[in-house]
Amino acid sequence: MARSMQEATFLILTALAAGSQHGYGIIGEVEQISRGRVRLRAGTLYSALDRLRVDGLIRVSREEVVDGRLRRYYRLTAKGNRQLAAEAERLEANATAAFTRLGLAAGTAE
Amino acid sequence: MNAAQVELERRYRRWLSWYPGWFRRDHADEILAVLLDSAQPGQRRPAKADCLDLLRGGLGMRLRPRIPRSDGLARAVCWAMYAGAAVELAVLVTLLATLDEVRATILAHDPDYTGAQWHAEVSEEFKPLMIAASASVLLWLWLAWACGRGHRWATVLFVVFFVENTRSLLNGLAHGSATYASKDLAAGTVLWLLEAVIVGLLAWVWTQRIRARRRSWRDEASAADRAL
Repeated sequence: MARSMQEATFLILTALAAGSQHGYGIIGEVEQISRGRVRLRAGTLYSALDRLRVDGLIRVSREEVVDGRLRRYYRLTAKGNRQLAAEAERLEANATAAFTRLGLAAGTAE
Repeated sequence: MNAAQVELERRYRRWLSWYPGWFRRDHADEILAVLLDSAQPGQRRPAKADCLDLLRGGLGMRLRPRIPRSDGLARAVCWAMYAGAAVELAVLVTLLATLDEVRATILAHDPDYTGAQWHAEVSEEFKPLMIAASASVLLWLWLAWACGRGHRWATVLFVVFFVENTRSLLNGLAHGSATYASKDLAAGTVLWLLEAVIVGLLAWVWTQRIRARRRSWRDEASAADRAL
């Protein structure tokens, strides 16, 4: 059985699903996707990005220098796309099961 | 860049030195850019939470295996080596923590046992054991770290380490008469079993790699045949 993804990993991949992003952009996207609940710090973000690169889920798409600072853009690989889709399906199935048992329609929980 | 930013950058660079050199060369400027972009206007000192995060990230980058998750066996080998270091460390701590107990036990059996005899016992029996256990902890950590970075020599060295430990364990079983003999042998046996599991996993990893290489040769050969 495949191991479930950590929330930070899931959110980073989700942030990259719409297109390539640089580090600071990913932090902002993750904060937005999680509705302010998850605020990644630089050390955590770059450890996760390094791990995801080693696993072949993301790759560097381009680099640029803005105001004398290096910006490296990351994007999902095909493998990353597949794993994110699989994880999203798994989470959706679990959430649906939970809502069904609670007798609630999806997304109506207070 | 204003004076506050220059100072903040200098301080963050110092925290980034927790990361290994190869990672800093590739990513320090990039991480620094994110840290400075996230800073408050006029901020001169790094936030404590950022510093702890960089410390954790740097140490993790130095110690964590860099093996893809898909290569589960190789990752298992690496984590088992870290477990070996933990067991060896537990042996060392037990040895240190029970020294007084050992002395009390000896005194209970032999009331004439002198301080000089105890000092001799410590320097002849226990000190070498502690030095050996400390060296083993470092060796386990070093091999785990090297395996985690895909160094093949580390796996060969581990097999040599396993053979040597097997030899010394058998020697201990044949001539075991030290004060700590039974506990020593129990700890040695646990470590040996862990080493045997790791050697088994390594053999499995090598077999899989050889099979994969043969498969790719066969595929290449058949592709060449089809092309002809």
